[in-house]
Amino acid sequence: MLKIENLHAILEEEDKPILKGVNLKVKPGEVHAIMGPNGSGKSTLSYIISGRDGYEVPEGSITYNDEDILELEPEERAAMGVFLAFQYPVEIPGVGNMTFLRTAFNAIKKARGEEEISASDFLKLVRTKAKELNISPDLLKRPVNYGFSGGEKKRNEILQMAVLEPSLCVLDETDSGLDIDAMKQVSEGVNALRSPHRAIIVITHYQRLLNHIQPDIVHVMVDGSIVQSGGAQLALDIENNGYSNILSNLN
Amino acid sequence: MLTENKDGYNFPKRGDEYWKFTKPDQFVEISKQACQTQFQNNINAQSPAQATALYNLDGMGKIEFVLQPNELLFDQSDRRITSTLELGLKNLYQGKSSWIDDIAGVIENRIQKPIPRPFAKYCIDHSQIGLCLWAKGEIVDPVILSYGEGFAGGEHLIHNIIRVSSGAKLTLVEIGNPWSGVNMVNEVHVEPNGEFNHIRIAVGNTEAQSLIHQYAKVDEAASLKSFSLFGNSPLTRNEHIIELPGNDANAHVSGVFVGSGNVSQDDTVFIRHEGLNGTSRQVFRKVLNNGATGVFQGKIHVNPGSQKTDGYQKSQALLLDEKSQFLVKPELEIYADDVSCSHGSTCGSIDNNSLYYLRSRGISKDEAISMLSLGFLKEVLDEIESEVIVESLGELLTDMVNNAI
Ligand SMILES: Nc1ncnc2c1ncn2[C@@H]1O[C@H](COP(=O)(O)OP(=O)(O)OP(=O)(O)O)[C@@H](O)[C@H]1O
Ligand SMILES: [Mg+2]
Repeated sequence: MLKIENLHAILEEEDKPILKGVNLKVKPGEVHAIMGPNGSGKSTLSYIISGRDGYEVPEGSITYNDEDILELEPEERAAMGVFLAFQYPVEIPGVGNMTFLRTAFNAIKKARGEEEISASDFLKLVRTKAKELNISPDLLKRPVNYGFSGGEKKRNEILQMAVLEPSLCVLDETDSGLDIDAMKQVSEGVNALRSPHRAIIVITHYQRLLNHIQPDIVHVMVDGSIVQSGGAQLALDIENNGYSNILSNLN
Repeated sequence: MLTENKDGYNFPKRGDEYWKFTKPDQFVEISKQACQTQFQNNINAQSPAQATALYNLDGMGKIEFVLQPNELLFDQSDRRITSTLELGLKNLYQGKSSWIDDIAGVIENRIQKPIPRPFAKYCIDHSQIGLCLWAKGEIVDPVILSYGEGFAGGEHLIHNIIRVSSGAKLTLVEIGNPWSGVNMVNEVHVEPNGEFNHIRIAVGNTEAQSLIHQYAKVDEAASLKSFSLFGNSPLTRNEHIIELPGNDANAHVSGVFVGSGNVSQDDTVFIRHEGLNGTSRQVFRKVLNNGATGVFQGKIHVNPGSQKTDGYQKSQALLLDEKSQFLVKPELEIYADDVSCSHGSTCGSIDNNSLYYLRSRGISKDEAISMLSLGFLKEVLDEIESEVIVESLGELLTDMVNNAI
């Protein structure tokens, strides 16, 4: 489904290499976890998958459902089913959360040649999903993420994911900032999306989330490349021992 | 600085104070042309419903008038008009009613100092067209004044005289700029504890060159709120001069402009605090694209002794391309020591993070830019008193933004 080969990326404004040969294959139905020290390039990878500009890719490729997506606009990738739950969701004053959700939903439907649903059906859909994620109706009326607490922002990301039903979900540290109950609700939201047709990549620092969302494969990213991959046990090892073993093996 | 011309009006020249960015030349021509032709104008009045339906203000309670160059149409059967509202055409009223004479030319005259405003004086001296409106009590429904089709294509001088009595309340919505050129003045007197809410919707003519003045005197504990929405016309100068001679008076002026291409819109605001505890707000936002120009010149003036004045001024522009420009002259002139006044001006482009965020959810680049522009402008609508009016503006504003992108 997602195939990343020898991906290199340079941050244009700093002329700074961030990704240095990432390889990753994700099949439908799989859940992958990516861990790794701060600054190793996890968020950068997620941005490049979703199509943020400002990066030069001198080498490597990303294909999604056998299509090269590196040249595609972010909205085209979203229409193909790519979704990134941001580590730092953006506050957008003046744009209502509900308007935003509906515009995104309709834009994706339109791009896929599917029929839009009625405004009242959409409202019902959003309200139901919001309730499941324990998002207060008040947050739907406010501007996008504007003045939301850290945890509210993260839940709002998962709400968008639940409404847009993407086929590839990349969750960048969705667990940070969530209280224990919220972590459970969000995990349930994510697990509800698990399906044989859908792949999920969770970027996290903590094993805790992986108790709720069981990964099939765990990767460790260090200094811009994936240096180790393994089963769920790898996350437990990291939780107990940190990255020192992995780092010393590298040297 | 000013030159005397043969009519005795010292029309401003390029670069004069308060004509720093907008060239006054065209307005001299427009004013004189309007003066010559206003009596030759015999265009028949057209259906009054047309102009207002455009802006989706239907469905709310309203008292509606359509002003034409040669007549005023209104619904005679509406009793509210007679009980709390008096109105008539300026040319019929003039010299026959003392309340008009107390305002016409008087408010404007106070304001000629320290900076002369020859265009306004010219308009008041020569205009035969305008509405005299006197609110004597609380008028719940907005009064809607549309400028009719009869104005289309010509130059006009329009002089409206508005009085809000002590404790009265009036909402006036002015709609339309179907003229090709206009010099117009609203003279407003809000008496103690009176409340005047004003909305101007000057949208829908891509040819108009407008010079618009609103001169107001806001008495003790009275309030004036004025919001204007300007569409994509080649040249607009919107001038507000407001005096607050009494204590506890309040003035809010705000505005939105959406411009694209070879257009220029200028808001020039001067608020003078002369009493104690006055409050004022100036809030303006503009979205500029394809080389459009936005101008804001604003001053908060606080007289000696006008303590506890609270003055706020903010002008902001969102530039959607590199050729567009926002030219500003924000000023504070404060002669009292116990006041809180602030001014700020910002000019920016679309935030890349926000744009990426919206696009990553499947929203196209143009639609995302439109949403962000609209979001930027919508915050100004908070300045409007009536929620019904705010809602009625949503669709219009969306269309304006979409057309500019
Ligand atoms: N605008 C920028 N200017 C300079 N360096 C940057 C910029 N953006 C990212 N970087 C650098 O790129 C590297 C990778 O950052 P990235 O956010 O991808 O790391 P991460 O693995 O997600 O870290 P964390 O676990 O802390 O979220 C870091 O060293 C970071 O400082
Ligand atoms: Mg990160």
